[in-house]
Amino acid sequence: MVAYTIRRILLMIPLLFAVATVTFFLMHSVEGGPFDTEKPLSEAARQRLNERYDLDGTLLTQYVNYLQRTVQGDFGISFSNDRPVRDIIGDRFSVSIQLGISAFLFAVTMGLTLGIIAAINQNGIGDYVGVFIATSGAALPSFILAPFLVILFALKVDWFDVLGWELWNYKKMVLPTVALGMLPGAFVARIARASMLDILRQDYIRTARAKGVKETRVIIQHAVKNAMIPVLTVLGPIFAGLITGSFIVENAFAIPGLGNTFVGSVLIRDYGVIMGVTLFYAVVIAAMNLIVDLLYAVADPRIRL
Amino acid sequence: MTKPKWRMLLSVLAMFAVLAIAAACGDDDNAEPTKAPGGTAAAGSPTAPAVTKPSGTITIRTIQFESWDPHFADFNQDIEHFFMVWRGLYHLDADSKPQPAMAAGMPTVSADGKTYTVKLQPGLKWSDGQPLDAADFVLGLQRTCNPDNAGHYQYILTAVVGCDDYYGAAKKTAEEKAALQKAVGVRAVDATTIEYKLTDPQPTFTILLALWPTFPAPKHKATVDGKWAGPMENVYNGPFKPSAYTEKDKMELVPNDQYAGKQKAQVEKLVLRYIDDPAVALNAYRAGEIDATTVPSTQLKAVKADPTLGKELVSYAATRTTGIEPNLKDPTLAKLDVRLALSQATDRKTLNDTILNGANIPSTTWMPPSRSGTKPDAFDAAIGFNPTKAAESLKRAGYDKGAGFPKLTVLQVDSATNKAIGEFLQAEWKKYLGIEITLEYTDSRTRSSRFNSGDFQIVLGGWGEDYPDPENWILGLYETGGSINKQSCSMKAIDDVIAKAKFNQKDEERRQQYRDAEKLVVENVCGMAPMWQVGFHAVVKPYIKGMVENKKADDKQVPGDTSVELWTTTKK
Repeated sequence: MVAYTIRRILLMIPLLFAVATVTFFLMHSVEGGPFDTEKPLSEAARQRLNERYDLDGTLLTQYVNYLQRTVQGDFGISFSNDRPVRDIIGDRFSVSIQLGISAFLFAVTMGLTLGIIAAINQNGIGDYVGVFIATSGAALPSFILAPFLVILFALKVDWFDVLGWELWNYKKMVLPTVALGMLPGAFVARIARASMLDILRQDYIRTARAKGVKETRVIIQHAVKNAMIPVLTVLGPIFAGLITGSFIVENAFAIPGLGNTFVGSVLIRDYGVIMGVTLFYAVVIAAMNLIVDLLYAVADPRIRL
Repeated sequence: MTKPKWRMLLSVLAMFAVLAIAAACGDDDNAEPTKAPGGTAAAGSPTAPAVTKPSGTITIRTIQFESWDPHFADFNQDIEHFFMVWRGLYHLDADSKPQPAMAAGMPTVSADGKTYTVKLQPGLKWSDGQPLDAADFVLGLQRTCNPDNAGHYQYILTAVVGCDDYYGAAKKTAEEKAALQKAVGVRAVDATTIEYKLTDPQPTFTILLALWPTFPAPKHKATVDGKWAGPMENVYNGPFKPSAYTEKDKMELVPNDQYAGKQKAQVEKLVLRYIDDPAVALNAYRAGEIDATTVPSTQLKAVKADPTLGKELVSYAATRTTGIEPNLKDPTLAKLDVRLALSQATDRKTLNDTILNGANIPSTTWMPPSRSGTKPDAFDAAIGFNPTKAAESLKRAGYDKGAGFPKLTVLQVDSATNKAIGEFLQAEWKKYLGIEITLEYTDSRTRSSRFNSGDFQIVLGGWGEDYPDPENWILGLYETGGSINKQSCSMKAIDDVIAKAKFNQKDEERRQQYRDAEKLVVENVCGMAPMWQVGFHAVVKPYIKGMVENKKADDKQVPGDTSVELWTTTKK
């Protein structure tokens, strides 16, 4: 497993190089630059700003300079607020990861609960309720769900706040968590239900019951454990997706997270932030995929890495 | 236990997990109420308040600033912040007239109008207790002219001797730059006297001394080309100073004890909440989390219809005009009659009422009434909606009923409202002129890039005022070769009248000359067919005083936000 892990980590290097290259040239191929504001800058000011932010050379020179800096862990300076991109990512990610973990826990709890209830009560009331909630969650995009939750729970009944995020302050945590976690929760529920139904029909489950094994043990030790492998497959990407921030949810609750920052940086052509966040996302997603692959081996002894 | 019973037990346990989460959503009896209480008016008038001891907190919605450096920045939200924490020699009052702020009185102007001498109030200090003197004002102006700082608003200081030369010296050596810096026409005569030298008499120069590019720079903290300190590290001479700051989240401001203005800050804390989406901010206002915010035009009807919000709504004309901007380099649009036809076929009132929810003021004037004194319909006879005249104009241009009219493209920033506006114009021009236009939508930076490089036929855009004077609506925008004249307007009559107005020391004559220039621009659709004066809409809680009472046409995010020391609240 150690050799496998090292091999996968080494494989990330060409992956990150490819991501950096594609993003760099894609970004610079888009019309409009960071200093194309509504009120045009004088040519002298534009030239000076281009020099300050290393945008005055040819595209190839800029690319080489960019790669050299990136290898040293320097993502450059944000054009919009003159701060190091590394600091901006650090600040915003610390918020996004809190919201992401909270939403992940909500999604997993909700998804597994609904999925297991639905499976063990197949075609019963628990199944219908679970499937209804899961389908509703999947059908409601967060840009609809977030304002809906705000109107219902912050304006109509005043249980929660409209703005912001604060760890351990339930008034600021619940609505963003539900808005972000509902869709992945619904997804987990559907996969958990299908997987559980498949496992419950397996011969070894029947055998266990025939041998008089207690039902809780059959469900938890034999069914749930084996049903988790397909769920585990999707949890990695879901986790990576949640902790890297959501523009819609962060915008809907005015949360200073990474998703909001990333989309904003594209709109204002903040090249340093675009490149820095893209590479950061690539690392997080690649790392999560690796962790999931390693967990397969833990969950299923038949898998050899 | 039997299998069905275990199933039931597991189901109950699972349901319990869901209910546990739901329980977290329960009401908290101990929590502070978030609904804002109703309030009563603060004692005293807003301009001469009786309140002396700061009390209460005011929370407003604004947008994250991009730069904290007043000698570099140009965004509206940046400027809003600057006026809260810094002040120049003068400050613009509710009538946009400069009044002494750090200065002891109005400037002494030499007979030729080229030398301004300003005396500072004695004993000025920065928020850290360090003395604030003439050298700080010299340094501030030099920073704006500094090529390495690349200040966006250097262009308004082009009349200051040597400022343009210094600004254009980016490629020169450090020694050459130092010499050019010294040659800039600003000097400290003594610790409390500053002298400004101009190349030509500039009638609006006192106004410029109230704006952020001329704000002082603390010589004990800043250098002419060094990095400008951030909010928590910098020092201030305005009514407030930052006490806490989280980027993209909020800034908290407290009164600055060293502020030398006559009216000190009247609230204990001013909280700026950074909220990008105005619709989200409006929900926060409804929930009592913020005390004032702008109202997006999409929600204007709902706010007006709301029995509470309707009473708290304040609407007035901003100093921003939007219109049709034809590129005169385009062979079709170079024909005056084509430009007239497009303007005359545009039903501004219906457009405003139906697409824009009545948010703006339909207009054929370019300058806002608060700057020119003319009514919004002053040029209706020449370019206003008139289908008959529109058809005649197009016929004169050689395209009777649109026959043989080349395809035109209208470029806009991509948004739902702009799409509706584009489709409205497309239908109207087809109906009244028989012509086809193509609509093109891009993001804001692409649109700006295309506009600034002249790569367009028609854009829908306009101008937001930088400083309160008619010259800011004409100069650079419509004279031949003007730095912001991207529509390539070029008319000798316009150039002549601008040349007369530019250095004219007789104020009323100068203003009339700019009105004459406006008439020429509009009646010739020389790069602009105005459609509406932008409306500013905000809601303010009734327990806040001093905001609505001090509203100005050039407010940034909420009413009266360039004079925050006049705000009071009775909410504790």
